[in-house]
Amino acid sequence: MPTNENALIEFIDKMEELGQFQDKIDISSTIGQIWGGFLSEIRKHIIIDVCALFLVDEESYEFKLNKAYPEEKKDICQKEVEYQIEGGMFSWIINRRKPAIIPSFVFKDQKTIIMLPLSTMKRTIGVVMVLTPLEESAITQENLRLMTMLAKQCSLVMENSILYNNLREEHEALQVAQARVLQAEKLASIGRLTAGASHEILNPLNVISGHIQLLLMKDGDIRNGQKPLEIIKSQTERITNIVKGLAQFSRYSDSKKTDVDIGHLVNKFADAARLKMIDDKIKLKVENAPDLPEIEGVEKNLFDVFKFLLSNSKDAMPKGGTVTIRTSVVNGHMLSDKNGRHIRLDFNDTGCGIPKKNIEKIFEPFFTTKGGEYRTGLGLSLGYGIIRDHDGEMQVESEENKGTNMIVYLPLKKN
Amino acid sequence: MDNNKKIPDLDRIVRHVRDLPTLPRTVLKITSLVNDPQASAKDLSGVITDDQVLTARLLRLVNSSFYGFPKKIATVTNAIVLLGFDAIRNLLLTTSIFGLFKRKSEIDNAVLEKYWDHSLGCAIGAKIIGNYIGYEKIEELFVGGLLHDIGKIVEILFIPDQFEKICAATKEQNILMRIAEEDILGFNHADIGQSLAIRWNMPARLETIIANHHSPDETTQFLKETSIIHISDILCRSLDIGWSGDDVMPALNEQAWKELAIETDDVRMIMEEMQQEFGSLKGLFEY
Amino acid sequence: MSTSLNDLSPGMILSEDIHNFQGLLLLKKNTRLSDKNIHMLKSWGISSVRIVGKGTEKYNKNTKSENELKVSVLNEMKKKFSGLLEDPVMEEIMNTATELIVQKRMKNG
Repeated sequence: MPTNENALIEFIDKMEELGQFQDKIDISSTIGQIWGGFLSEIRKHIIIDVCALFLVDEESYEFKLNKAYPEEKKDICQKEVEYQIEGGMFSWIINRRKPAIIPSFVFKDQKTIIMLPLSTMKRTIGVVMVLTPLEESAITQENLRLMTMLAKQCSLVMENSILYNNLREEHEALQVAQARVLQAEKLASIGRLTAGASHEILNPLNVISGHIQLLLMKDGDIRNGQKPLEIIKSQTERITNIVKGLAQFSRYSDSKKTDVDIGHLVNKFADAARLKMIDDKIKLKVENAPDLPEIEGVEKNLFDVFKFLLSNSKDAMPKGGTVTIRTSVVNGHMLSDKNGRHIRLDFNDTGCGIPKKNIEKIFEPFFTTKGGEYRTGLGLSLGYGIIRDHDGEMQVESEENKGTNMIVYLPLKKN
Repeated sequence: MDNNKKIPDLDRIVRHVRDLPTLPRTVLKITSLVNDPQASAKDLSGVITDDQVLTARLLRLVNSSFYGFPKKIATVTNAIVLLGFDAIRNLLLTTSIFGLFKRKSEIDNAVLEKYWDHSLGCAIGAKIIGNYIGYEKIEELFVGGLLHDIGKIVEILFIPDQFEKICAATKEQNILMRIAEEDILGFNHADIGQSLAIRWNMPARLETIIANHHSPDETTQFLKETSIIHISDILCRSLDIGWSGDDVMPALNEQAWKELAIETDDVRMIMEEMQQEFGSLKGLFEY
Repeated sequence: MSTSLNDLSPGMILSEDIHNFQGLLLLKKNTRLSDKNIHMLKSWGISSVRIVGKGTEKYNKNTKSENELKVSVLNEMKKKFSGLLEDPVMEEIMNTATELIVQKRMKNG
């Protein structure tokens, strides 16, 4: 029969359209937004006088009224559902998971209530109560099936939204926790710095104290006091250097940033350095990429970083060698998830390299393998701090007896 | 496993078993109404209430412990909008089936009753298991349970002499009834049931359930539904609800059990419910 | 022994966990019942619960006739299930069926 066929095709079209309900809802939508979408969909298919959304409370598992349309009907909707729960039909519908039409207790004139449970196989999210002026007997099969479909769609979408929001809250909590950890790490590193500094200072102090005691014990025989006095003098100088070194940490922060041409700076540094190294049998090469973009930075501080790096390379090549400074532009780097473009500077030497066990420690303040009282082991630590102030990163590659490559990343100036 | 199961020769069976019953006109009318999306509850209830006996049976079933409603469902329209069109269609089928296979004086009606008991028990089991796993079309499962062994009832009523031979062979050789059927008839009761389902224009789902309830893993579709009937049949036999024709228990199909994922701890609860509900529902049906 | 929801009153204490039809844990064992949570149980269709105090299980001493019945039913069952009892599920089904059949026959006299 043609009419039957057309009716079937129309029905299928409507079902298909309903199936796209979820496409209209963004995953980050709130329950309120989904409710709005649901209301506008259901009204395409059936006349609505009152419509209310009840959601299962995540703690008490009660069905709580979440939205009511129109707002004024909130109380009466609440009452109706309470009567339905006491009457037993409510739970029957929830357990059956299908829409059902039942007589109303509370609403007087329009007697037909449609209850649409919102649930998936595993979870019940809530229920929608609809009041329609339509007579019970006028409800068609199409009405029922479309509403079943819409309720299913709504359940899926709401479940996703709830899961997504829970996930987002967890994520935010995680980020707060992460920030706290970072903060704690910072404080810990200040602690380490202080601990390192106090250790470095206590040692010389102990030596000084010991020698003074020796002097006091020698009953005023100054002639024998010459060596102890010298030792005291040099240890005092050592302490002074350490404190000066510590002071440098503060010197490098709070400097005003300007536009810096790294390529130009590297050349300037290399020229000055070569003059100082004529007798050192060290060759200094520079390979700058053409047209290096500018960065924002403090020229003086960056210059000092090069000085620290060169100093380390020199110490690693007592019999001479080659230092190569190479610059290039890269897109992002492994040490951070920053995707912007960076300048990469490779500071390479052919020295004795760093043993694997020491590689982790080289950026630590006061770490040094060099002997002598004047080495404070602060250079790389200071250098690293300066680079971090420029929002960059530093990395070390090294192989014993082959050489060391210090990699510096500096983000480009933002346009 | 032989995946090319022979499709029963419908014509041959029909030739062999004359006068296979057809569905009552009311049920046919309702089926076509249910296929019309624009049909209203009023339209459907109009057709049903024309037949008073059918109406009474339907309302009695709806108000029984089958659903356990807290309040009485007074009208057919109430029932339609509460349960849905499809459910009502299956409930009507349920109440009509028994009338299509009426007792005959020439046969042992006490035996016939026992076969019906078994079918009813299986239907109830299917409903309970269906609810347990959250399956939606409960009423259809119920019909499936009622009809899974309808082939045996057809044999009793329409080919009683051969049925006697089959029973004798089953007992003497202590085999499953369907083996004896295949020997003597060339087809078994599942095949007869399948032909009936095709004849009655039943949905493919029901047809598959009936045809494959012995070996659910031979179906490519509807494994879940077929497994439900298969397991319900076994539970029914173990509880001695009715009689299915053989002393031997069929093996529990492993794939069927896995498919439904019933917790072993819950088996007892399901079986208790089956026993209880059979007791309360049996009085509703006349056979 | 289970108490029907209509016979519950606030203050009673649950002696078991209560789950809904989807397995969601609604109330834990030892929770004190209130009007609010009784109403909540009703909304999920929970019809009866076990509470502390009511119905200490009377120890059911199996009568002699019950035991005899059990033995004979079990024998019938074993014959029926012969060859299939390696499957633990079938074993469970057989044992449960035996118990339930004995219970039924005892009830019906």
